[in-house]
Amino acid sequence: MRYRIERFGRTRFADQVREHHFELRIAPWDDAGQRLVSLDLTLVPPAVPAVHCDCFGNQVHRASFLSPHTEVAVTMVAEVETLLINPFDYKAVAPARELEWVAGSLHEAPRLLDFLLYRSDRVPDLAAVAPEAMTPPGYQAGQPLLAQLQEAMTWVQSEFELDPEAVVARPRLAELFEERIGSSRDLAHLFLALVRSWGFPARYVRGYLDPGYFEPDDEDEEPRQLPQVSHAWAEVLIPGAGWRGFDPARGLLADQTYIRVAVGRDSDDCPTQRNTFKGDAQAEETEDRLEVQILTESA
Amino acid sequence: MLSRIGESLYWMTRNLERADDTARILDINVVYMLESDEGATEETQWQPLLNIVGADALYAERHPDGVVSVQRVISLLTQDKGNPGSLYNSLRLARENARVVRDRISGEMWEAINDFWLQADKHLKTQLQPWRAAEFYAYVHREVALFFGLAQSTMIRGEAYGFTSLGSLQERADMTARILDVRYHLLLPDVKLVGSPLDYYQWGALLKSLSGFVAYRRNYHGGLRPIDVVEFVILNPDFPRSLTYCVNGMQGALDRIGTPPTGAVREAMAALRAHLTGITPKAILDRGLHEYLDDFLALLAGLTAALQSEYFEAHLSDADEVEVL
Amino acid sequence: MLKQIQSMGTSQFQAMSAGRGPAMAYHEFYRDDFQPRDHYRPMWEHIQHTGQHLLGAKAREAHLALHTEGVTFTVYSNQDEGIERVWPFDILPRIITAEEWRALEAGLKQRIRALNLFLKDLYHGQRILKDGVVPPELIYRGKDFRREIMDIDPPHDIYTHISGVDLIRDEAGSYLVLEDNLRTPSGVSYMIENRIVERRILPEFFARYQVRRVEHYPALLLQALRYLSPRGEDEATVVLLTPGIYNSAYFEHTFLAKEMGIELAEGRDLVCKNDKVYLKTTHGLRQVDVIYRRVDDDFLDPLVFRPDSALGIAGVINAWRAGNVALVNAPGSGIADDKAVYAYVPDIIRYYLGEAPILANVPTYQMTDHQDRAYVLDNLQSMVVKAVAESGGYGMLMGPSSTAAQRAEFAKKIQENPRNYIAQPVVQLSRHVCYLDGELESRHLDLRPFIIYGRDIDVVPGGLTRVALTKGSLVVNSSQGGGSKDTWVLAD
Repeated sequence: MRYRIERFGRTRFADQVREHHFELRIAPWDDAGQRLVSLDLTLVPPAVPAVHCDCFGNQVHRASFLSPHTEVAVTMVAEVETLLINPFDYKAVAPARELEWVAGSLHEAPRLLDFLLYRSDRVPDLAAVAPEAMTPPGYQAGQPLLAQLQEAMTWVQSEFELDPEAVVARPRLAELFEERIGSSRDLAHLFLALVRSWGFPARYVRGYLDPGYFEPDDEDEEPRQLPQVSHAWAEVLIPGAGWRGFDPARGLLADQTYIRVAVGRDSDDCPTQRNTFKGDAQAEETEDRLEVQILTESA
Repeated sequence: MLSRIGESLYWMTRNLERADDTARILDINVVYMLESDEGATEETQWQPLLNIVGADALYAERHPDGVVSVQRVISLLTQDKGNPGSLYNSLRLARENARVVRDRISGEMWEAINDFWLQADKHLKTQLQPWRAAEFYAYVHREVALFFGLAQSTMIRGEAYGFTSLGSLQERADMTARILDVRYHLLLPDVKLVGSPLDYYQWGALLKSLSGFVAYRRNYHGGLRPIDVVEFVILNPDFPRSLTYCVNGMQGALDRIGTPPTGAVREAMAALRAHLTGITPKAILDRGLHEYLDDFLALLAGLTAALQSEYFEAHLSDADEVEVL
Repeated sequence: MLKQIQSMGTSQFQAMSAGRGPAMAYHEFYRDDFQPRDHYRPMWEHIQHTGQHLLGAKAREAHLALHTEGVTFTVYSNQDEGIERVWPFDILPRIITAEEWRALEAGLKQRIRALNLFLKDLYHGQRILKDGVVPPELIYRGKDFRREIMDIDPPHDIYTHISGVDLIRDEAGSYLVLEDNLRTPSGVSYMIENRIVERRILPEFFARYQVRRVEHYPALLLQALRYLSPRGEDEATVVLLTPGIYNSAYFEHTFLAKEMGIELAEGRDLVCKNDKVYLKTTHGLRQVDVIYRRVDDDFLDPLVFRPDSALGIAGVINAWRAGNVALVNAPGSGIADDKAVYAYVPDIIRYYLGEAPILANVPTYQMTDHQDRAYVLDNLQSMVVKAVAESGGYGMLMGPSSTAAQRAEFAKKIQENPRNYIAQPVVQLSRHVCYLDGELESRHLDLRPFIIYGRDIDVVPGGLTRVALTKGSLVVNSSQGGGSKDTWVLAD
């Protein structure tokens, strides 16, 4: 699928700030699964951003404004072509050998250990935070991983509710168990905690969705158009396939309607924006608008 | 040198000079209070001090009953922690800045200001009584003189010395202009009285608060005439507290530091020099002394802003080219 | 043993009665027959000749000299905010023969060369992990592994420009490495000040020996720093980044900056612009080429590490990535001085250099190893347990002098977070004679030589000898009441 993405973000400060440095992770990835056709980034005050890749492979745009100012605005226009029409299309490894395959991958690329071993408040040890009454599904050795992951997504959907308008990750996943409703980010974190407890590398993904997702569902009693927001899901290293996306918020495997923007061990590794500045002001207003349009459907 | 260090050197001496000048005006008033005639009320004697340092509003806040007393004024101007211009705060800031630049000043200078601060802090923990005040202010003068004396005899004449001279001279010019402005108008509320014989004690107080009474009398033999006082305090290049002396000294300090050929600092200094050259005391009085001094203070404020943008915060620019040093 | 001591009678040197220590510890000064070792004999003879009482005057002179020079350090403990103390210095020097030093020097160079290759590998191809020599989990669970700097190439591929390797001597007198310090180790200024003071108060000792110099360390270091400059050595602007006056090592920061003639800057004096680092001066921005940073990784760049840090320079890691500035020591070096990684250093040397390690480690038990852990928990009383990421002697259990409650606490900590701890059998650090309160007494000590890695790897002849001033104590860190001696390496 070919998409056009337009994203506008503005931050206003109550008082002047200076020596303002920031990093943005808002551009779609460019790799085997999706092709970044074009990218245009405009900053106000005017500046030409520099680019680098961080340790997780995310494209990072950065700029600084040293002199006193009260406002920064960023406009991004990007065109991306997603290629993963069928996420199930790969040569599966026999279930009995899946763990061995993963061990082999970890051996070849120790960097993957980050996605297996990392624990934080957002992606904690599941056993430590899950209430006793709840029994998250365990891993069954010898059963295909893909099927188990799909069942895990079903479990998440049955126990937890998605708040489609929430865009923030809870600082502590433990809170999700108390309240049972969360953002796509929370559900992604939960899924990661589960998969890592099974012994498989899994990473957090933030990205954009096909606009169809936000359209009102005619079957609803009160159909409403949701504003487009960025979405979060998880990717798991699937034996024989590589990274495959799992969206516990919707119970779907990520396909060409998912556009990957940034990955990390949890959401803290890949915030939309990271900045520091000098001055007393708190960021007063932030404005964030996203629009994803379909340019061409897949053949 | 680092901007932060230059800035601290500058404020270290500005604050120290401020402390000294505050002590100076309080001191003179205490002495004057003892010498003057019984007709003068506490209010007429002490209100002017609040005007000079711009503390009237703060005083009104502290004492809504509006009564001006010597104890209250002394407390507010000497030791009130909530008064940013109090002697206490000036000393505290001077010493804090000295700590930042400890490596740039001699060991003796640091010990002098540090010991001074510790003693003054201890002393000012209790309310300073008017009859003990003179003793304390004399102590302040001695310690400040010691510090500046050490600076003069132990500091290498380089950029660091430039910033310390600049700070103290600028503050001195600032305070002198304020003292002249306020005192003068108390003495001459009516412009028609210019040239008439005046109260010896009042003029004496003005000149003594500038440590210039003896020097004045040595230089001017016609008695205390306003026009001569104006010339002495504003235009005389040899009297160390005159505005002209201070501005000349500031220029010297800036030459030591090194100024770019064009820019805000050079312009600010040119304006200050222009304000003091090619003008006679009579012309100043004709124009209006208050306006003249007000303009002068505004030009000094302009210099402070220029120093900030050129020396202390030069990095806050988003120009693509960065100055190559 | 006691009878032998009493029969020594006539000698003014009654040090033995003050505590030879348990028979196990190696004594640097005395042989087993209580005669001084050959290289100490000239000094011993001099003391006997002039009289022990003279040492008292010398000690006072030394204290005064250090006080006047302002040689202080800050001690932090639970109760205090931090007190500035005069550097505690023992006037009797510690002497190392040329031959002994040759072996040490070779061993240290080898070790640092290997650790540097290790760091480069960890942050690039990770061959050593793929080849199974060091467990990858150890690295990826390590607190100081900085994944953020993966694939960045520091100038000349050097990570550990300045290291301090802590050495002890075991009961047999062999030098062992106790610990590596690769995160801007401190102590160099004290090493130099010790020498300055010793020269001043005991010139007569120096007259009897040929001692190799150490005062040139700042010049050596400056040369190594300039070597890293991206704009070339002639143009290099080098600064020392300090956290400021409240840091316990601030004295050393001012000392080194002064001796090297470089600017001492805090984070707020520097600013990044277009991926270059600049110093804010009264005459505009001046580009910086090399930053000798005495600020921890965590606080170095609020854009990459802790966002609440006011001590760092926002954007400096990006400038480093772009190759426009050198950072000394490189961020991420801490993983190589992690105490759990320490146990693998001999293997690391073999892997990269294909050589047998010249210097041995103290035997170390990994708490992540099931068997090691069981053994240690059974024998806590005779173990030293260390938290892997701490320094300064904190987070440590000294088995022999601990209470049952302390051991129980540590057992719990080990079980909860085994990756965070290692254990070593208590090694009796070697002992030496010190002049304390008018008496000659024996105390335990160690040695921290300093190694500079620039165009070449240089080991400064000597180092900081740290003494545990409390009788019987094995804790030498100054932050916990240790002192030091001047350290002499004899010329051939």
